[in-house]
Order: sequence, then C-alpha cells, then structure tokens
Amino acid sequence: MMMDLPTVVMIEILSRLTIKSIFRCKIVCKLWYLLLTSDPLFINMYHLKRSSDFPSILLSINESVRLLVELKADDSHPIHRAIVLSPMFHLPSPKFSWGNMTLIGSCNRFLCLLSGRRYDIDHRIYISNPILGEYFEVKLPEWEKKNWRVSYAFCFSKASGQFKVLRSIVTKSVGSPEVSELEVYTLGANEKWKNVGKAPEPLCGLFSKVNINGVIHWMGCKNNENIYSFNSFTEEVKSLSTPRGLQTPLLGLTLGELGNCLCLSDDSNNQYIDIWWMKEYGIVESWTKQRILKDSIQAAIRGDKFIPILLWKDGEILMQRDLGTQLVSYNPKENKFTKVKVYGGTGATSYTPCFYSLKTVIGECFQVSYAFPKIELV
Amino acid sequence: MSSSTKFLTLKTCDDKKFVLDEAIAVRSQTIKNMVEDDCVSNVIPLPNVNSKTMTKVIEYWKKHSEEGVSKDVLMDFDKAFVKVHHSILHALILAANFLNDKEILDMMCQEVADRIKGKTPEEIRKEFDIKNDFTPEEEEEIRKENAWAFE
Repeated sequence: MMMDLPTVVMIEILSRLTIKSIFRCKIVCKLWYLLLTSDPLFINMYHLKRSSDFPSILLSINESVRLLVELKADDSHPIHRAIVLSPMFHLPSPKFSWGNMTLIGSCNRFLCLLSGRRYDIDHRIYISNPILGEYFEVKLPEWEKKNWRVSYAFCFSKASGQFKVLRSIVTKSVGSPEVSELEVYTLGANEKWKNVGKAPEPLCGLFSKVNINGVIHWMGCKNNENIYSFNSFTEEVKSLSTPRGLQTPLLGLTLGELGNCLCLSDDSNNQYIDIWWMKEYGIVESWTKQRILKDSIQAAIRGDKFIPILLWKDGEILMQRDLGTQLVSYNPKENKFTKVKVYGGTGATSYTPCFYSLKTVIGECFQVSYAFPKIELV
Repeated sequence: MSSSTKFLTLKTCDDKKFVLDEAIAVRSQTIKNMVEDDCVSNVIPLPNVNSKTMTKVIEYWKKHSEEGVSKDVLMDFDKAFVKVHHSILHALILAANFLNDKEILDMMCQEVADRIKGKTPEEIRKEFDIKNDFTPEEEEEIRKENAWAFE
C-alpha cells in the first residue's frame, strides 16, 4: 500500500527520519533503497529539513572522533542512541592507519580529519562524509626537515563553492624569528598547495574550528587583543580586535560561533560565564556582553569551564563542560541550565550531516574511497 | 462574490455527494483554485477520493473551522485522527495530496514517519504490508553495509 504513494510524498516522509531509521529503511524494499541512495530529491529535502529542524553534534573521545548524536529540539531527552562512528563504516580506514582521527573542522556538512600526529612526518589529512562512508585523502606537500609546528583548518567559500584546507607551518631556523607560513589547498581545483603569505604572528597552538561565512578564525598568542582571520574566498588574512578593555588573560578565552555570529566566551570566573557576541561582523564597537550566572549549575561542577557549542531551540545555548562528558543547555529566558542527556564523549562540535556525495565537490577526476565495499543493485 | 454562505457539492469516485460550505471546502488548495478560476459548475468531481476518505477529511476540516475550540481540544482531535489503520492513513495521504491540503498531508507524513521510527526493517514491512523484494543475497549485502544501524 505504502508503495504507491507519490515519490515526493514518500521522500517527504523519509526525510523526517533520524539517520539510523533512514539506514534501516534502506533494507525494507528496493524502492526505498533507491529513493534513499540515489534520488537527488531525497538528498536535497533531507538537507533542507535538517538545517531547519534539528542539529547534530560530533563527540570525540581522546581527541578521536567517535560519536554522532542527533539532537531534537522538542525533546527533553535528546539522545536517540548515538551513532558510533566506526572506521569500518564511516570514517577513513586506509590500510595504513594510525587509528586516531582528530577533527580539524567541519564545514558545509563535510569533515576534515587528521590521522596521526601533526608533528609526525606521516600524518594524513582526509575529507570525509561519514554518513556515506566516503573519504578523500588530501595530498600533502613533501615534509621538510625545518618544519616545526603545523596546524590545519578547513573552510568553505560560498562565493566560489570551493572547499579549502588551510595550514600553517612554523619553521625552525637558528637566529631568525619564528614565522608562520600559510598554505592553502583547494579541493577539486588543482593538486598543488599554494603559499598565501605569512600569519601576522606565528601560530603557537591550533587554528580554532570557528568558521563564519567561509572565514576561519583564531586567537593571537601574544596577548588577548587580537583575533586573526583567513577568508577562504579572497585568501586574505585580517585581524579583528577583541572587546576593548578586556582584562581576561588568553587562557580564559575561547572563540566560538553561535548562530553564525562570532563569539568569545570568557570563563575565568567561577560564578559566571561571559559570552561576548560580535553582533556586527568586523565592527569592534558591536561586541556585546551577555553575562550568564552559573548558580543553576550543580555546585560540584560549577567551577569547571563551560564552552558554548551551538545555538538551538528558541535561543538556548548548548554548552559543553570542559574535561567532562557533560552537556548543558542554557535557557536565557529562564536564566537556567538544564542537563542534556548526551554521554560518552569529551569534545563536542556542532555538525550537520548530509547525504551529498564527496564526488559532487571534488569532481570525477579524483578518487573517492569508501570505508566499506559498495554494492550495486540490479 | 456574495456575502451569504455559498455551498459546493463535491462528488467522490464512488458517486457519493457531499454538500459543503465553500469557506470550509477551500481549505483544499485544489478546490480553492477551481473556485477562483470560476471552473466550478454545480458539482466538483473528486475522481481520486472515495467517500469514506472524504468523510474523514471533512470531519477534520469542520473541526478545524469551528470557532472557539481550544488548542488542547484540537490537539486531542488530531491525535485521535491519525490513530487509524495504515490503509486509511494511506488513503488520507493520497486524498490530501490530491486536494492539496498541506496541513493534513504534513500531519499524516509525520504520523507515518513516527510509525517507522525505532522499528527494524521486518517490523516496518509488517506495519505497512510492504513486500520484501530483495533476494536473500542482496539483503545480506545491504545489511552488511549498514550493520552499524542495527547495533
């Protein structure tokens, strides 16, 4: 009976499901299998619904991406059983594997992952769609002996429709000051890395994952005054100022993105968290402080650091307790924190899954690999 | 258009006639377009809808057009409305799709999605009388590929 519904209606129904249900539906019958695996209408509809309906988060354990949790705004117990991202089915699983897959960043629904250690010669960079088990290895430039510290970032330019990997290389040379060389790799365009100049000051840690309208951001490390940015379209580096008169030392500050707005959270005080919103991008005067009292957080963990992850359900802010496996949701209307029942990971990042193939991004000339063998139905 | 109540006659595929206030019937975008384009003669034929389904649809339209009905009452009504056998659900979806009533269609799609949630493929097939048309080998292959979804 359900089989003769118009395709549009059937897709409307299927695109409302959670990822696990969608994969279960693939096994129901051939028609559903085809709708869910090769109908562009489904892929687009899912994409549209997903952006408006409910967000997901990626959870890492020991710096390695492990779980995907779909959150539902209308549910006080948002965890539907988390999807375990296993290298067998989701993540890159090359023959020569280091095991660990660290998240460099996620943008426009794809992930950029690092396998191995950044400072080892043999580390690798992958672009992945974990939902489809697709991945693509980015060819890295030959490792030079003078390379000392390296950091990666992942960005997407809407204007050019291109995904780019940015890396900073700090080289060691006796007697001269440290310099961060910035290099860019464009997916699908050409296979060469391109030098785009030097960072205003050498990058001592990592790029942040904060990506707003195709612009990557990171904090300077000399003082607490500078935020640097790399625009993936113009490939220019710029600097932005932190709120004037900010006293908090660098260590207490975390860059973030909430509702596509650049944010700086200050968690140096045990009693409250200050979130600074850059209401108008690029305008220093537009930094606006929101003070959030921690008094509705249980006393035992109140002193911990809470990092905003994403803006969801009517302005609530989802935050992660640093060094803990706990997520909390802050409701600004009631000035209250509630526990979000998501367990099992220590690092949480907002991520929106999709069913778009990597092939649509990198073109047919490049080899997309699969974490599992693909089947062809007749 | 006159200010007095106008009535439309709808004729379903099994030749049953329903006389309905135009203001209610235009909840269907399809009927509304016909009225606006002045294509309405005496009787509007609904070749894709049977009388049993149309009765349900009209029941919904009337309830949702009543004045002074509280949100809670409507919610309870909707809850009961979707609690039907999947064959009726199916007929209602087709009718809502033909009549172009986004509200009913949306509610029905959500109900089907809710019935799929949390079920295994076997349970889904049973719920909706869907025939498994995979060969055992094919099913085995797809299962392997999606094994994680069953953990």
